[in-house]
Amino acid sequence: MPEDTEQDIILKLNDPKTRNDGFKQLVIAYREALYWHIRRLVVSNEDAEDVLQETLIKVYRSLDEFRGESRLFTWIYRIATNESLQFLRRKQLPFTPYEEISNMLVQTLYAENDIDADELLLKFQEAILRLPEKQRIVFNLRYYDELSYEEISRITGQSVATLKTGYHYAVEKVKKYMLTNQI
Amino acid sequence: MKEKDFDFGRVGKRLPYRMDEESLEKVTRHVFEICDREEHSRKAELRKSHSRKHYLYYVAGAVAAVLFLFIYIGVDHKESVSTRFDTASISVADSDNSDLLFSDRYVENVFDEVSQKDSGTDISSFENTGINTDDVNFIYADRNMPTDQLIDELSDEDLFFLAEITGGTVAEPWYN
Repeated sequence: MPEDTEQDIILKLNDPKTRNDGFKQLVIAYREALYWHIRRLVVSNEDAEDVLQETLIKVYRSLDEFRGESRLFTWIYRIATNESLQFLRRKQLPFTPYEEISNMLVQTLYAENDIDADELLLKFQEAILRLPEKQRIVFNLRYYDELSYEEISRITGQSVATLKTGYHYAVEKVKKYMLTNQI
Repeated sequence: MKEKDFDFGRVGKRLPYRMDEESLEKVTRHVFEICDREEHSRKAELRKSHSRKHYLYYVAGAVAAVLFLFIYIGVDHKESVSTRFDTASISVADSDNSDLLFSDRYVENVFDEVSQKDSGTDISSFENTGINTDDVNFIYADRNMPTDQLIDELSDEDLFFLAEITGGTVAEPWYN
């Protein structure tokens, strides 16, 4: 998202008269990127739609809280990430180990895709879904969204050093998984 | 080593997921509907809150105005009654007959008696009554002695007030 578009949206959001137009512009600008970010975390299309809707409504309701200290898209991504994780936690009993959540997500991955889906892509997603939650998030944001560690840090609240280590481990685990499964 | 040979380029950024094109439109429509509804209710709430605030201002203003009227006009009215009474007294005293203040009713009675006796009343009829003919002339002219006129105009409440400030010397005899 170009920064001038983001600035244009922020200007509109700050003016009560153009606030709604600004929000509509924001939704159009970010909805697709947000959808894919959420979809990679919750896997199911239907769930992704629900979480995206919740995210956008939460963004709308929290517009007054956006102080411009970070970029608009990192603020929206943080809300989307939190909404996705909360959604997954609601689906499970409290203190469910991440392996169980991973298994559930992998099942959904195969249930939602046709038999003719690319096996390489499915295995690659499976490898990502088997990562611990924090590694999965940093891997997705770095690999797919190509965000800097600083931006990921603003989204997740983790330090850059922790994120770098997490991403390194995630890449190694994905490689190992892919090679182990001889894809 | 084989592990290090996995080529991420084989996968790239492709995903095994498909998105229904209608999905985003559906979500967007739904979100806009919800937000528009919330915006309307927010504005309605704002308007309600404004009118509630205005209503409070109006009530406070009305109460203040009523209090002002009670306090200011009440005091002013009593001052006015008192001032008018003083003016009436001075007016009578100016006729160089201070007794008249306390006896103008008596003068009026005398006037009535005389006028019953003789419709063509003459000032000279009063010459032997011990009453100043100027005063009789004044009464005869329009029967509007200042104190009498004042008492006629006053309400019961004001008469009581007048009785209070005069110690009952003027108003009370008339009122009773």
